[in-house]
This record gives sequence, structure tokens and C-alpha cells, in this order.
Amino acid sequence: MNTQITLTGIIVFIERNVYLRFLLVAIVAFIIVSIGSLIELYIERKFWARIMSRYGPTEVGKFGTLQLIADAVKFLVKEDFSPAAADKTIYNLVPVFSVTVSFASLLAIPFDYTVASLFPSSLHPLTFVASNFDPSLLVAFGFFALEPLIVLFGGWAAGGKYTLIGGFRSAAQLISYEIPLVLSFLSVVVLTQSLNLFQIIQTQAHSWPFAVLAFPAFITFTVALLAELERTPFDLTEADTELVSGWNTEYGGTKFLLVYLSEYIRAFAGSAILVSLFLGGWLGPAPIPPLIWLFLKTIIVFTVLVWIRAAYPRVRIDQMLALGWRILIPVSAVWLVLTPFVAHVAMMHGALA
Amino acid sequence: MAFVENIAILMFLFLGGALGFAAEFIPRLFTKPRPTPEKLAPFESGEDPVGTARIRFRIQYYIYAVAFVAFDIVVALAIPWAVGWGYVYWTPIILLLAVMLAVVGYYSAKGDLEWI
Amino acid sequence: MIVDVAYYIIVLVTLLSVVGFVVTKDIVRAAGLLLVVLGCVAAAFAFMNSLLLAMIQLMVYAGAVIVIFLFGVMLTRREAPTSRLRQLVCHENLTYLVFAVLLFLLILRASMGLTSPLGYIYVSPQLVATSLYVELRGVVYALAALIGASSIGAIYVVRRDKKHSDSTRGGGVQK
Repeated sequence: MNTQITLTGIIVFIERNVYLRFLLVAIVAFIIVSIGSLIELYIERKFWARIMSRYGPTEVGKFGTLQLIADAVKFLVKEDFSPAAADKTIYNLVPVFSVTVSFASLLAIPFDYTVASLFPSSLHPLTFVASNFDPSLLVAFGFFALEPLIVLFGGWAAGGKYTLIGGFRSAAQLISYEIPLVLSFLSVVVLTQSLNLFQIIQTQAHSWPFAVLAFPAFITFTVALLAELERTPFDLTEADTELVSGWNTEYGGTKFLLVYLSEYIRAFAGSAILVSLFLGGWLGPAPIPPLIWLFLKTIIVFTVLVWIRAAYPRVRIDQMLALGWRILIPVSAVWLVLTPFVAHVAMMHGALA
Repeated sequence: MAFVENIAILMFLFLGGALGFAAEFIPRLFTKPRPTPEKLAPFESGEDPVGTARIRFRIQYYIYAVAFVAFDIVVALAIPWAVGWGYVYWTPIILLLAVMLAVVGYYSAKGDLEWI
Repeated sequence: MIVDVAYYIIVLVTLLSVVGFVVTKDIVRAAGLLLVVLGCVAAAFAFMNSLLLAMIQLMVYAGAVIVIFLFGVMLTRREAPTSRLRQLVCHENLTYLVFAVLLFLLILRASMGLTSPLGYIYVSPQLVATSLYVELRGVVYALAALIGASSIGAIYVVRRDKKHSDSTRGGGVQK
């Protein structure tokens, strides 16, 4: 009996079992998002510091690249504590829930396809693609939309005044910008008549990028995404001069690590969804593989977010709410109804396949 | 369309949950908590905590929540229209969005969306 | 087979969370358990091969209704004594009885093996669009009217409460 275990044998074994197959996809997505989060954090610290005429991390490793690893290790070896006033069960479960939900929203982003396209077709790489199903965009968004709950439960359970006020402000902000966010991505759905992010990217191969065809939606989506990710100029939920660190003030050690990680996973997922919806996803000139294109575009979008953070002051809470309710919702709703006409004209002139 | 995407979602949730759980609870086996009353007190800028943290909030937040729930239903109903606009009636969705905008207009005209 | 087992596990979790939701004394924990219930209902929709509906359930019910629930809880004094209605509804023995009956029915259903959740046809967004905006468009008109009326009605209630809370403002109401 031939019991020799070969790489091909393992791949065939995994390919036959749908659970193992998708677990592998999830692991690949996790590796990609981990690398992405590390790069994001490094950009956040270094690029932001350079704009502010500082150096950022310099000591640990070459150009301070190992500083992030050092920080992570430090979080992991910290002692565990729960504040005396905290609701211990909810307080300890919120970080786990947060990272789970943020990670699940990565499912829709076609990283698995871009990885699979690197492998020879003799291995049937396309059976490993999990992101190509019909309402994949909606799945990503459904998990994205659970953030207000994490913020509210986390802020309440920690038992501090700053956390509770920060949680309430965060929730008010997140719910105010969710409506324009959905309405703006729906105008891309109108252009492609599909809720499949995979298909949305493929349509852009034969048409203008949707950032041009749906320009107002692109703008409203970017602004709403900035608010949903709670980044400057909409970071008044963790306005450090008023609320210390917002809802996660009382979270320490590994709990803070998880909360922080899920924040960056969300930023990564949000940037990747923006890239896939409006900027053509993995599409790009040939010599660079699709995986690198998608990754690079995501990181560039994130860098722009960091740039905005460095360049703009924080808005006031009344300005933030007025922008969300009085400008973004009407603009995105009106544009959604106008988009079919744009699609019609674009199809006549060959700008949309 | 097959059932497999549910398995993909399940696997993503499983992996995220397992990693989060491991990252939170395994380091506890190796670290020894040394609680002190100061360490367990809520952070209030170095002062002694005053009163309870379970404060009451203004009704203002509730207005946003009410408007959000109503508009979320509108948006959820807009999703099928955005997929099938080529072969369905447009009047229902236009009416829904118009109602939404009218409610936003009414709220702002009456000053209910103001942050006081 | 695995799918069937997972389906019944989810139903069991739903039942347990419902009992916890009714029995627990802490309102915010009750909201957390309600979140579990609504998430499990979304999972059940996914099992019935309608991911669109599952995600709308997650978005609207889990994402929005729980928020309104929590905001409502935290607007009120949490030390307030429970009303007699709540005491009546929360009667624990009654809850356990209902739970036991439901659990029995669930076990009966599972042991008879009558349904496989895989038997449902796939509900595509296109299908939902046709049925919602062609066949059932009258319902959507009614819903639009209802949303408008309820938004305007809610604001009147809130405004009355605001006036009330402004006049009786003690301290401890947080901006």
C-alpha cells in the first residue's frame, strides 16, 4: 500500500472536503489580513509621524519595523484584569466577538481568487474560491453592520464613565452613517445588477472604473466609510482630549490587542471593499499578479485614510451628524434613483459592459 | 447556486472565534493577576471615581435610533430593487426613498436632529 | 448530515437564549441574549438557503433593533422596580414549562427526521426583486406609508418625553 504523503495528495484530500477547503481559505485570508494589518499599523505610525515632522518608531529593528511585534508581545504577557465595576462575562466576550465579526466580513473580498490564480490549473484552484457567490457584498456588510452593538455592549460592560459615553457616541455615529454607506454601494449594484463582489470586479474589466461612472456614490461611500471606521476627521468617538480612548478605555492586555486588531481588520476590509467596488479590485496591468494589485490598492487606500487623518482636524459632533443626515443621505438616495439612467447612457456609449 | 457559501461563512466565523478565544484566554494561563483596588477602579483621569458609571442618557440619542431603524428598513427594501431595476416597477422604491427624505426634511425643519 | 446536526444545534441555542432572555434580571444581558436569538434566526434563514434574507435579518434586526433596545434601556433608570406585567411575564416556572414543551417538540421533530434544511430552493435577490416589486408592490406602498407615519408619530412621543425630562431634569443626565 502506497502511504507516501505528497503535497498533491494533501491538496486532493482538502479539495474533496468542503469544510477543510473553506477552512484553508479562511486561514489564507487570515494570513493576508495579518500581513495587511501589520503594514497598516506601520504606515499609520511611520507615515503619520513623518507628516507631523516626527520620526515614529526607530529603535527596534531596521527603521523600527519590529516595534509592532514587540508591542504585540508586550500585550500578550500583560496580566489579565477586569475592572471591579465591569460586567465580567460581556466584558471578556466583547473582544472575541469583535474580532470574529470583523474577520467574517473579509469573506466577500476575493483574496482567495487572487491567491488561487497564482496556482497551476492542474490543481483545480478555482474550487478553492469561496467569495464567488451571490449576495457576497451583503454578507460583508451584514457583519460590518454589527459594530454598533460591539461598541455599545463593550462600553457598557466595562463599567467606566468614559467607556459608556464613548460607546454611546460611537453607536450614534455608526448608525448615522450606515444608511448613506448602503445607499452608495447600492448604486454600484445598480450598475452591475449583481450583489456578487466578484462579478462587480469582473464587470469593471470591460467598463470604466465605477469611481468615474458613480462618482457621487464614490464620494459619499468614502466619507461614510471614514465615519464607519471611526477615523479622523470622524474620530470624535475616541477624542482623546475628551474621552481618553472612547469605549475601549478600560480594555487592557490581550483584550486591548484584540479590540485594536479588529479595528485594523475592519479598516483593511473597508479599504478592500472600497477598492473592489470602485477602483477595479484585482484588475491591473499584467506583469504584476492580481493578488499584489488588490493588496497594493487596499494599502494605498488605507494610506490615503492615514493622510486624511494627519491633514484634517476633528469635526464637532453636531457637524458630524448634520453631514450624515442632511447631506449624505439625500445625496446618496437621489443618486441611487438616477444611477439607472447613467447605466443606460453608459451602455449606449460602451462605457459599461 | 449551492449551499456551500454558508459553509464558508461558518468556517470564517469559526476561525475568527477560535483565534480570538485562544488569543484572549491562553495567555491567562501564564500570567498571574495581582489585583489592587486602584487597578480595578475605573479610569477617571487619576481622580477617585465619583458615583456610578451607569449614567442616564438624553433622549436625543433615541431620536437617531428611531430614525435609523425606520431608514434601515427602507434601505433593506432598496437592495432587491437595485438588483432587479431592469424588470420591476420603480414607483414603490421611489415612494419609499421620498418618504425617507421627507422624514429627514421634517426632522431637520423641526430641529429634532439638532445636537443641543 | 452535519448540516442537519448544526441546524438543530442552532435551534437549541435559540431556545436556550430565549429562556435566558426572559429569566435574566439584568436588562442589558437580556439584550445580549436577544442578539444571540436574532443571530440564530439569521443562521436559520441561511440554512433555508436564503442568504439575502439572513443578511437583512442581521442588518435590520440584530444591527438596528438591538441598538434601539439598548438606547431605550440606558435612557431609563436601571434601578427602577420591575412592573407587575413584567413580573407576570417573567414568571420563571411558566418560562421553563414553555421551554420544556418546545424542547420536546424539537426533539420529536429531529428524531422523526422529517426535514432537511437543504431541501429549500435557493432564493436569489432577483427572485425577491420580482416578488416584492411586481407581485407584492401594494405591500411596499403600505409599508412606505407605515414608515412615514411611524417616524412622524415616534418623534411626537420623543418630543413629549424630552419636554418632560427637561422640566424634571435632576442631575446625572448625560449629554
